[in-house]
Amino acid sequence: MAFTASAVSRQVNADMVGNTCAFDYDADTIKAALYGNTGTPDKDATAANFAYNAGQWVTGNEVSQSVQFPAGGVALGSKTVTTPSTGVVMIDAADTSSGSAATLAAVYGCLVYDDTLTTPVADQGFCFNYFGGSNSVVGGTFTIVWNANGIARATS
Amino acid sequence: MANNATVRVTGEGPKSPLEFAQAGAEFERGQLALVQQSRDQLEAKVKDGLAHPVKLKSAEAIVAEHKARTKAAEKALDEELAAASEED
Repeated sequence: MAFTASAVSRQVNADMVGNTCAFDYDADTIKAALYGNTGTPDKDATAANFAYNAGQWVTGNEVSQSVQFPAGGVALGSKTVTTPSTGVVMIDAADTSSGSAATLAAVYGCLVYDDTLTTPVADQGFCFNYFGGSNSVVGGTFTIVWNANGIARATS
Repeated sequence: MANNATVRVTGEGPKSPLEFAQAGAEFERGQLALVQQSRDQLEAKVKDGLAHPVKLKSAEAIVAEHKARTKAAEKALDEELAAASEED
């Protein structure tokens, strides 16, 4: 099993609707941490297992480089929550880049998580995004190019 | 639903320790600005009663963590600059 798809956490949606977590995409520090192909991301994982450095998302599975794309990930910039079309809510951000001298190998995807939240679990994950396969950089800039349809979207 | 993302790689090539340190320091300064911006937004929401004050403590910790990391990156840059000037 491996990283093969993207998904929003079922539990974070339940926690937001149930007011169990005070997820604030605009004002919280939201980060993207990189991962290799070990383990299987699970959209239905509990909050305790869908957070940075927990469950599938332990640092042992993370791909990072000190200073250039540090463990814990990179803060997202220019975050937006929009309603681009009927029945659609989209969250998005500017493309997310490493430092310009990064060396990273076998990156398959990322976890987008809230670095401000402490309840119901610290660093609760929002979604994971697949990069379509293995990606690497040697002494350059590694940029996550978010999809034209955003990091994630909800439809009604 | 979350959407698949792609990756863009630019500027690959060997980097000197100085270039590595400069890149890292610049990156960390940008990150610190983003984290501070989120913290300011949260503070404004707390003032307006739209967020709980307890969240500010966590935001402060995040900013402090990034400040420490930025300081470490800048220290590494200073050391590289000093080493480079000694070589000259």
